[in-house]
Amino acid sequence: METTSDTVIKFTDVHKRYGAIHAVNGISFSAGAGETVAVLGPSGCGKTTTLRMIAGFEEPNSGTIEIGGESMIGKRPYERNVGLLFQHYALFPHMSVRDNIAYGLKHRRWPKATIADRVEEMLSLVQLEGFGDRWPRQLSGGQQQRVALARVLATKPKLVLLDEPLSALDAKLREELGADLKRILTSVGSTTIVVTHDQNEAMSLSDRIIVMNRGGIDQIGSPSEIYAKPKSRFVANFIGRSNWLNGIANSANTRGMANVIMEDGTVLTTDSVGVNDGAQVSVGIRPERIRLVPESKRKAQGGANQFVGKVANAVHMGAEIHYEVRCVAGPLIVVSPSDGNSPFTLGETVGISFGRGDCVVFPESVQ
Amino acid sequence: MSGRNIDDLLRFLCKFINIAVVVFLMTPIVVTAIMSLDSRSYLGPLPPPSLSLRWFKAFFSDSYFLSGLATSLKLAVLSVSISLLAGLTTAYALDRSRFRGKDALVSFFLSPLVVPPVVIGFALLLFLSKMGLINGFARLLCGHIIITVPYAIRATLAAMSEIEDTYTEAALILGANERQAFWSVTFPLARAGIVSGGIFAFAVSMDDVAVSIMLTDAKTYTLPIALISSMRANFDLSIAAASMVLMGSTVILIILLEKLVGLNRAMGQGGFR
Repeated sequence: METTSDTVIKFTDVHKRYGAIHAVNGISFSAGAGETVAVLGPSGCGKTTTLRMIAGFEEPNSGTIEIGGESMIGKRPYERNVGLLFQHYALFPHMSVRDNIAYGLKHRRWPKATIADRVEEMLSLVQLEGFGDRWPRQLSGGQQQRVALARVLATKPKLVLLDEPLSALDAKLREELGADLKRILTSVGSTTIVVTHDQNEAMSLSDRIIVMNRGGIDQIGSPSEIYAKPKSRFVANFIGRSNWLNGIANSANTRGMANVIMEDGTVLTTDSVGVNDGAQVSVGIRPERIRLVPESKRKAQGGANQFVGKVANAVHMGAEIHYEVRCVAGPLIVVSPSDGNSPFTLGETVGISFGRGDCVVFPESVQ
Repeated sequence: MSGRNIDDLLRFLCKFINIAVVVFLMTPIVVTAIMSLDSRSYLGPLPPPSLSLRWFKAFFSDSYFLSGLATSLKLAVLSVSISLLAGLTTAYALDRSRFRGKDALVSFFLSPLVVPPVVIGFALLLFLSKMGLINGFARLLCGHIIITVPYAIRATLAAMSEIEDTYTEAALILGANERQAFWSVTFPLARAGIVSGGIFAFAVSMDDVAVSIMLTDAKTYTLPIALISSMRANFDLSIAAASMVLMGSTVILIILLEKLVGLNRAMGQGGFR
């Protein structure tokens, strides 16, 4: 893990145990100034424990956590200058919006006049001018979140933590506020860690994603990298959907790139290298990487892997159509863009194709 | 008889029982109130032919009752203050910690509620005599703290456990230390519950006979004890007036506390969960 002068947060081999449960199992990562990093994983993967250790609510059993080059071990939450946007905002119900935003400033001993100015500045940053005298319960969910964000950013924290920031909102608000959130965080240039179980939240908000699984880190990379080149079957399944085909690897005459021979003898060609010959492998293919053509045009179709199948089901999802296609390799889910009507009817025989680069190969033993 | 007729009959019965219960509960209070205003010098049939404040005058010119009232008020204020302090610290500690046997400890703190007050009073009488504590007021104070503290702990514990931990965490990460977080966030949010616990404890202390009767002495006695002994000696209606004073002082205190401390309910609280 490289450390540059503008590294804001750095985890080195951090462990956290609760009794027999190894909640966080030796994770290391860092984030640079102005970067937004998502910690993504299912519940119980250790992401919340990671967040709580950054905030100072939990202490690691071993390893180091540095913020701004300073060790945080033994530091209380109020000694860290970290901001945390709580999932349910945690606005103080007995204080006005103004007092909520001023709370951190008062306890960081800003002068009174400066506090008043800063509160107004934050209200206009989150576009809630004139809301200072309202009570939190008088605000909508989205407004409450913006007040909470203003309260977090008011003290100019070195690092901002977002805990499932959009999960408490309904689907429509989510997109709108996600964009708002990103815009505001970018405008103040804050370094941000987003902890979430929602891949869309992670993809839309962050520059880099850390995928956690069972207390460890499975992969760190940009959203597109993680989507296109998942390093484990878990990552491939957790982020987006995949079709899985099983077979035995064989790289004879392929310059090291694995062919996968399936049970019925069909051969898949991939560009994966370093797969042991004779190993049981799973091949993952994204549903939207598979192309369907009418059987008549099959011959003209490109792509390293070609099959014939029958359309078993077609579901319109608005902008796209989800097909289930039966072929010799098994049932495949295919997602095609839609122009309003389905070009294929149920029971129709279609040509199926995908490139060798669309296949990711994992040994069976590795989950 | 159709189904709806039975429904109507049952609904009427419920209403009737409801009213009967209220009448049953209110009658003694109303009768006592009327008797305290009776102008006759003997116990005559109700309603009295005319009303007067003579029994209140009699009560307030009787130094025996007044001394009892003063002791009762002093005892209640002191014991409730101490109980609330104990309750608050206990509830805070219990709320913030997780350990084996916590539930057992909670039930232990609430246990005097199931021990009959007479037993507490008798045990205290023996214990304090052995300890050589003979000051009447101090003995009464001990007894009253024991009977009021469970109410204080229960109310504060309930109020604090309703406050989500994230409020404290939010305060901490915004730069407040633990003490500041407690006084600026936890305490204000728990205040309504704490006040209601205090009011309950106050009423219990003002009303107590069973424990007080064991610990009282010739010079130090509470108003309920004074009422009982004067009733045995010479029964007149100043007892009815005293009962009204006892009730009135509790009600006034409740209103005062509500106005002074409980005001925030109207402003910030409610609907924050």
